[in-house]
Amino acid sequence: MVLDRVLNIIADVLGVSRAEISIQSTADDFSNWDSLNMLNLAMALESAFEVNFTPDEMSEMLSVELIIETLKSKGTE
Amino acid sequence: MIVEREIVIKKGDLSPAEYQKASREIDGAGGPRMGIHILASFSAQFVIPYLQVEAHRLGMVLQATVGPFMQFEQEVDDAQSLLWRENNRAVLLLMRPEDVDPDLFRDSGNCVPADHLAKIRERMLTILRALRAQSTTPIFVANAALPWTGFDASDPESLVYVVQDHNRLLAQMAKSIDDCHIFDWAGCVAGFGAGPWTDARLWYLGRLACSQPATVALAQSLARHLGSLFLPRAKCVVVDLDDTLWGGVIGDDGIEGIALGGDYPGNAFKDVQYQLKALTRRGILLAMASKNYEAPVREVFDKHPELVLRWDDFASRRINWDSKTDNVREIARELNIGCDSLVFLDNDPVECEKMRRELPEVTTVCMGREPFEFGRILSSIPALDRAYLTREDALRPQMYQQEVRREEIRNQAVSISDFLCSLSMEAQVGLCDSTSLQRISQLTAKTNQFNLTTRRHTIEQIRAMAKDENYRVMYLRLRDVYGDLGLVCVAILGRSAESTGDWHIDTFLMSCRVMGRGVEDAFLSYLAECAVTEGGRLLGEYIPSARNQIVKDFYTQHGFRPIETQNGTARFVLELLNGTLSWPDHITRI
Repeated sequence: MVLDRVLNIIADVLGVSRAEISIQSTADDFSNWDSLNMLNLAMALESAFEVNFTPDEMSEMLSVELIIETLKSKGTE
Repeated sequence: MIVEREIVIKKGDLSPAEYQKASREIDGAGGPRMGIHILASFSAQFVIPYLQVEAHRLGMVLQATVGPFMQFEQEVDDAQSLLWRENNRAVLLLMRPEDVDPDLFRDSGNCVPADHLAKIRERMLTILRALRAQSTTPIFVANAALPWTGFDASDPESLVYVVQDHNRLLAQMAKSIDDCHIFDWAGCVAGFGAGPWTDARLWYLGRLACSQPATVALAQSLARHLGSLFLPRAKCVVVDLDDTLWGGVIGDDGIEGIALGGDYPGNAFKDVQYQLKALTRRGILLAMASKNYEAPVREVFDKHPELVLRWDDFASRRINWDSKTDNVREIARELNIGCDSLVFLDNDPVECEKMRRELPEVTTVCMGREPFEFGRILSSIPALDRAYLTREDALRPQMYQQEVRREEIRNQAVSISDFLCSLSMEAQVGLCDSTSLQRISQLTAKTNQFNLTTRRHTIEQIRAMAKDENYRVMYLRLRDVYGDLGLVCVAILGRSAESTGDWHIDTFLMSCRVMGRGVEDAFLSYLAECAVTEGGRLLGEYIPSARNQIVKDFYTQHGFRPIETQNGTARFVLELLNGTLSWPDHITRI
């Protein structure tokens, strides 16, 4: 469920189709997962899951797995 | 660039991801775009998707680009920069003092804030002048947010004190440059709240000036500023009376029973009236449409001590039991404006829905049920925004009242010529100068009906033509027995390239509020007079638009001979001798 929502948000922010993203995806797989979209992604995730990231978390969430892990550490189920 | 909205954006608040998605959809759709280029002292790229969506909601499709961060002078110098892209309709200069001069806000101790801000203004002026020297594109320049220190406001040396001075001086500076307007960044921050405006994480990580929610507010404000220049503006607000201007129903509750002034909700209704009154000072007309008998309404206007709006503040009044849509149509007809220039305010959702269905071109705003919300609703109607005001804007409501009196006389006068004589019109004609330039540009931009060619020249183009020996930019000002009507006619003559001595009428237009008075005859006579000295002919042109049918036969009616019609554009010629087009007797030339 969390994974599903995260994948949808990444698809919306990066403008790629859902089929192109999976739990294995990382920032290196997408040319526009850059420093700006890293922040767009963080804002989108904060708003969707009602959490707050620290600057370190924002800049380290560079893969789907890391995003899920960070969200879990904040109690997102 | 103002296109039909093929893409439907969800109403209400969007999540950050929804903004990204919607913006991408707009980017992907076809059609023409309005180019906007942003020069900023922070990373403004973040704002673009939000701006794209908010502009689209108002009816604009943008191609918005951002120059390299902090490179103002380099961008202006670089001929390859997107700044000089041909479809650019506006340039935004967002230069925050705290970014371009970090010492200023760090209170390093040996810094005189006023001097630093003066230097920043000097730099901005150089940039603005360089922009203006190379292009006529409208410019918006951001003013500065007030620093938020809390204690020093009484100290003339303090930052908060001098930033207020800075903004005032910046506004004067903007005024000195053609088509340069202030983007009220300070107002935007204040309206949103200075605290949550910034997100320190986003600033330190990515040099973003605003938090995500503030970015939404910034984009909305930028879109409204752009709309104030590029979208059609409403000219008149039609208001309902019961439960809109006052609480309660006058027919049931009587003058004693309605809520106006005093305690809530009466105080909220009174504030709405103040707000509407303020609109009239911005050149926006008021009209009323109410299902009532006239007598009790009249009694409120004659006797209620708390009333802010006067009977005469309304340029048109419809108090009857007919449908509101019929009444709104009639108001438009009476004021000689299109229904698309009307905003309709009503508290009744059913009336609003009916209006939206039957007259979709009217901007219908439902005030809802909570009077405390009315003020906010009223101030968030984008069609009422104005980028700048001219003297005519402030006079307009008065002029329409005079028009009503003229109409009464017209109905009494025996013949039309008696009526025209009774108006004792006085006209002053002349060539465009610095005092008339802005109004000439405004009329050129917005006159639709009595406009032979509907050419929309920018203010800078008009200024250039006014200085050019090969052009004559002409105007006519009018007053009559009821008052000053201001500058109402504009024409631009260009020397014909093909035949010496001939003058081509590039533009001929007249404000529709003086139609039917023979003013155009006087103005055409002035054109002929200017052209006849060189022994040539006048070449006229009619380019049909959706709204200028009424002047289709203008040239033939004035003795011009048709030459040809090409792609709908009809061309005419008139040989000129002294007195070919004579000045009408019923208008005195001053």
